[in-house]
Amino acid sequence: MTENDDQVERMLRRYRPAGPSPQLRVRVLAPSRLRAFVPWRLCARPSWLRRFVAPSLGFRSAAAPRPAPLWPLWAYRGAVAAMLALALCLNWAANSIAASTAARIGVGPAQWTPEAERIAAQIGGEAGRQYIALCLMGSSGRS
Amino acid sequence: MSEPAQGDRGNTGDDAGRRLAAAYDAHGASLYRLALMILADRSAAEDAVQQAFAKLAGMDDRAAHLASIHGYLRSAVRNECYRMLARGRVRVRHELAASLLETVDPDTDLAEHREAVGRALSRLPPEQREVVHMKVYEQMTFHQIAEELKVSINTAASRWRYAVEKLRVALAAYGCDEVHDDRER
Repeated sequence: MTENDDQVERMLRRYRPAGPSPQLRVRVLAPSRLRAFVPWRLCARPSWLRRFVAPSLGFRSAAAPRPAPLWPLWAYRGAVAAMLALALCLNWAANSIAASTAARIGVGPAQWTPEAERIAAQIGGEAGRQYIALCLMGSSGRS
Repeated sequence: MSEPAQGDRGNTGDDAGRRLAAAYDAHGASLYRLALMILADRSAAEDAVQQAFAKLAGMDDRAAHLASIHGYLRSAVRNECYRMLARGRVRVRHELAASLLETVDPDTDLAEHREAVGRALSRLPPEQREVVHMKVYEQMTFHQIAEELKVSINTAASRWRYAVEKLRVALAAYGCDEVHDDRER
């Protein structure tokens, strides 16, 4: 450490960072008193999972969680929410396209009948034969 | 922080409040000073400290598993400070630099000098201010600083070196006699 370091350090030591205002104590302690039950907290902070479900399954957290990391958690949450919304939209679109296609070509619901059983027996095999039989029934009904 | 007994279930909320109050009384001031030195903004420092204690309060009984509450709160405050800086929520206002510091000995307090030192500190990058705080006000060694900041000792020492150099130049520019005289000597 050089002489300059000592001089600057000595000068800094004349002071210290200002202390907190008394209101900070009130602010810090207020949330624990005023914490109210809101339903979405069950989803947002599933501490009830850790408290009630995990111990009954024999799980116990070995270490306390560390403080939140520096990377932006909201970006990952947003991405997950967007993917979930996309999956729901695609599922809805696929169902509606299938329904409209079936309506356009006139495919109605087919039932498992002795005739279908006969076709399935002729096709042979186990896995897809019932499905093929139903398709043939549907197409013969349409024609 | 001890685990509440089974019979005290009804008092768990009160116990948690008391534990939080005890933790604040023990560590609140030093954590605030650390946050203030990183952020150079009083209200932002209060926000960072409040966030850290809110995390501790949210841990409930898991707080009992913490090896060191002070260590947990300290890293929570640091993370919160740097998160606020990364989000651009903190803007250093140099005109408030005088309020960053308080004098140790009121008899020798010179408001102008204190303001000049505060202003010079507020112009440092947050990482350098943090090292200055640990070195000067917490009297930590470079080894301890490097361990806490998870950087090499050389990095910690060079942050200190850069900070001292900038402080020396800034304080000389503000006309602080002690440094100025020493430079001319």
